[in-house]
Amino acid sequence: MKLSDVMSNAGLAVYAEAGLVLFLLVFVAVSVRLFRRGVHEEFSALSRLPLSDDSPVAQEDRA
Amino acid sequence: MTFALARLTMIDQRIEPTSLEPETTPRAEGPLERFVYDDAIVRKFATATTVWGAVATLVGLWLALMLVVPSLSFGLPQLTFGRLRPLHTNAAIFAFAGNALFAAVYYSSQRLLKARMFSDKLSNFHFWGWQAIIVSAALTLPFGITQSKEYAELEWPIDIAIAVVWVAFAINFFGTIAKRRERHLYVALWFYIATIVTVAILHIFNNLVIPASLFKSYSIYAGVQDAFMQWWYGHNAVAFFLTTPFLGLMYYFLPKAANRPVYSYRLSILHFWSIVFIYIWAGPHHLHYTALPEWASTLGMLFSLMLWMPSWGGMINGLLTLRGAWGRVAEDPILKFFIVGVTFYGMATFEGPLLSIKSVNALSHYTDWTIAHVHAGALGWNGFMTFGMLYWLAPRLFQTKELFSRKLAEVHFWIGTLGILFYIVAIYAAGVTQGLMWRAFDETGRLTYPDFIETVVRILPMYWVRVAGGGMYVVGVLLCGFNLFMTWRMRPAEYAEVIQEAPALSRYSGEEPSFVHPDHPTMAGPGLYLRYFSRATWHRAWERKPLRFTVWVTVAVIVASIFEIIPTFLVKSNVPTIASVKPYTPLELYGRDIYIEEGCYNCHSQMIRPIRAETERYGDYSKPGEFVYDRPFQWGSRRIGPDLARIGGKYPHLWHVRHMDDPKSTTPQSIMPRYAWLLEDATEFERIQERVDVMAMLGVPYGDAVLRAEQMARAQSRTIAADISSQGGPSNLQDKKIVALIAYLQRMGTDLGKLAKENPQVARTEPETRTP
Repeated sequence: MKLSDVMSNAGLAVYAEAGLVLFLLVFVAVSVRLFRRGVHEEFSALSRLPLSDDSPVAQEDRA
Repeated sequence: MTFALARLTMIDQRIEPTSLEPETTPRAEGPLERFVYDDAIVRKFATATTVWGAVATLVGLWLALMLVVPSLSFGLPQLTFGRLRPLHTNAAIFAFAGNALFAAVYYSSQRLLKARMFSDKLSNFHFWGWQAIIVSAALTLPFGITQSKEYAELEWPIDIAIAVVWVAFAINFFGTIAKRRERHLYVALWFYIATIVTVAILHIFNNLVIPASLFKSYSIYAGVQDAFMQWWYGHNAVAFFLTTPFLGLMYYFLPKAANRPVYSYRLSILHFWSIVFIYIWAGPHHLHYTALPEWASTLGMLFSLMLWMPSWGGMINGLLTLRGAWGRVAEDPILKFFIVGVTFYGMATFEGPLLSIKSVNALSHYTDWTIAHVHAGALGWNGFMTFGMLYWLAPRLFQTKELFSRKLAEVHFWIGTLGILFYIVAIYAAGVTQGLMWRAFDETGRLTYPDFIETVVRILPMYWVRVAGGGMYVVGVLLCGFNLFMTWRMRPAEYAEVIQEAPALSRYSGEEPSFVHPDHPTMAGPGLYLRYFSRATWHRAWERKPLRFTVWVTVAVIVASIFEIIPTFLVKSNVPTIASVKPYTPLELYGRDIYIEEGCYNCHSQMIRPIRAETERYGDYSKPGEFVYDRPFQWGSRRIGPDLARIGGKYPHLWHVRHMDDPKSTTPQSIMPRYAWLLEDATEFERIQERVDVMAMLGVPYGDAVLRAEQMARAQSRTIAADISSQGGPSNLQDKKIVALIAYLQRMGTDLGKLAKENPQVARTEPETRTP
């Protein structure tokens, strides 16, 4: 028996739909975590990371 | 590699989670360290970006001209549309956008990680290796050395080189992460990580081939499966080579240029994860109504539609980063480039899901609509983000106070924007016009435009507008090159090496994310898991753990790919076999290789969709079982000329000879170039055996031909040449390439008809080849 015989009879019809639901759930989970209260301050600090490096011209710009 | 991973693991163990307080600079710092960023490598990549940008767009302009003035190929094989189009796409994607994304990665990663690149040697190996690959592409594609899979045309030796250079890049990048001095990985870096991991996977799996010689190989996948792999690759190359790294670029350089943080950091996290989780599934939307199983293309469509949300979230995030700085947009060409670039990202990612809807796709596919769509993305999004970055970088990299001329950059912006608009509006019109003409029926139920050429002639004026628009864009690119060159000339005698200072990372002392409630250590249950999940800590903890983070991105990509790919490969009912479909004869196989070399697939599809307008025009629709010996598949993606899936037996041999010698002799208004050399170049009969052997090795039941492919090919060649001669054609063609090509063309799509002859009953009840 070949691998393709096994796979053909494994009843994979719902395979793709299961994947769809799974990935949708992950998406919802990430969204829930991101939009709860209290993360704003934390993220606002993180979002300043690119502005805190020191390229000489950038400093002159800011001055 | 081991070394880099070991260091990653070390860091991984050293840094422990975590507290709720934001911390952008580590608190329990190690000793203060001094270091210098490597900007020389960024200068190199930026220069290469500019040079290849000019090359890619100039070749594109030349191709656009050739579509209206086909004689511009001057009868030279190297200058035909079919051979040059892959050069244009590869140059635009891998040379122009590739070097741009490397410049962005090398500049921003060092600064975001507060560390010099892991190894200068690897940086330079990456740079020179990549340029060598581009040059080798330019030296092989015009000579017909191609795998004929779109954006993966390069033959196997170059593919191996790409893999080696990419691994060097990965070691260098992850090595830099390992020695970083900033604990948190900023969102741009995640996009880079996703790029590096996914491109490696895509590249390897789509390019699995068995070489027949140094410059010729056959795909290990055949027909439907090959098509599926190719568009899994093709779609995700757009996602992870042209989208994610440029989003990283956007999330770094846009805040820099606007001098304010990104509008919403959490939107950027959502943007990242949804792209990683959703994009990889969407590939089958390139194959609607083809012989691909229907469930796969429906899945591709659904996931494409889901992409609407994160893409627009990203666009809005980019645009709103300029809140309170809109006044500066008026005077700053860099911000203008970014704003229009991000807007084109929004437009292209709105249009992508739209085109993936089956009923829209039925009209748009194979027309110029797709061409307009990709140029909105490439010229607008990738191009303009790159130019914005280059103009911002130039004075910093060349250490001049200012750009040579802001005014010139302003001119570039306007001429480029207008160029894009002229280009895409004309080509949208051309696409919709031709699509509607193809499907038009008159009141008697017959095709209104049965002659394909009518639908071509109608859109030629729009092609001229494209030439004008493309020309304007090219002028802009050249202005950019000039501006950067003049800025470079203003550089100091010696570049200053600015010494940076930052504390080394040390042990992290913070709160552990825990399932255990601090006050009730014995308590357990779903509530605590929920608490753990809803705390801000776990994702941030991840972000500090690059190794684990990378692993999860890889898992997401691989799981999605496996879910999608395995059923197509292993469930037999997806590709029902058709008894009368037999392998190509040795001569037909060689003829097929000529078809591949000449890049015929760039203008002709081999896929009749089950749509009445198509079966009426071309014949019975294509079945999955018809392609089981096609390595690689040749379904094509654009019909500049008609579909060829059932061309076999439609015309006499002599018609093909005349048509190849000069297409205008059979179709006076044809825009196909001449292929006169096929009547002169000799068939390399002695190379046929090795190709048959590789096919046999891949499981094609070649029987006798394994022993005497050459004799069989010579015999078939004599028969066809005799026919041509008896039809009144030239009598000296029997060892010429044209005969091999005709052998293939006359075979194409005819096997299904043999089924009807052998067993009419079976033919009538020929199974619905799509799985429900």
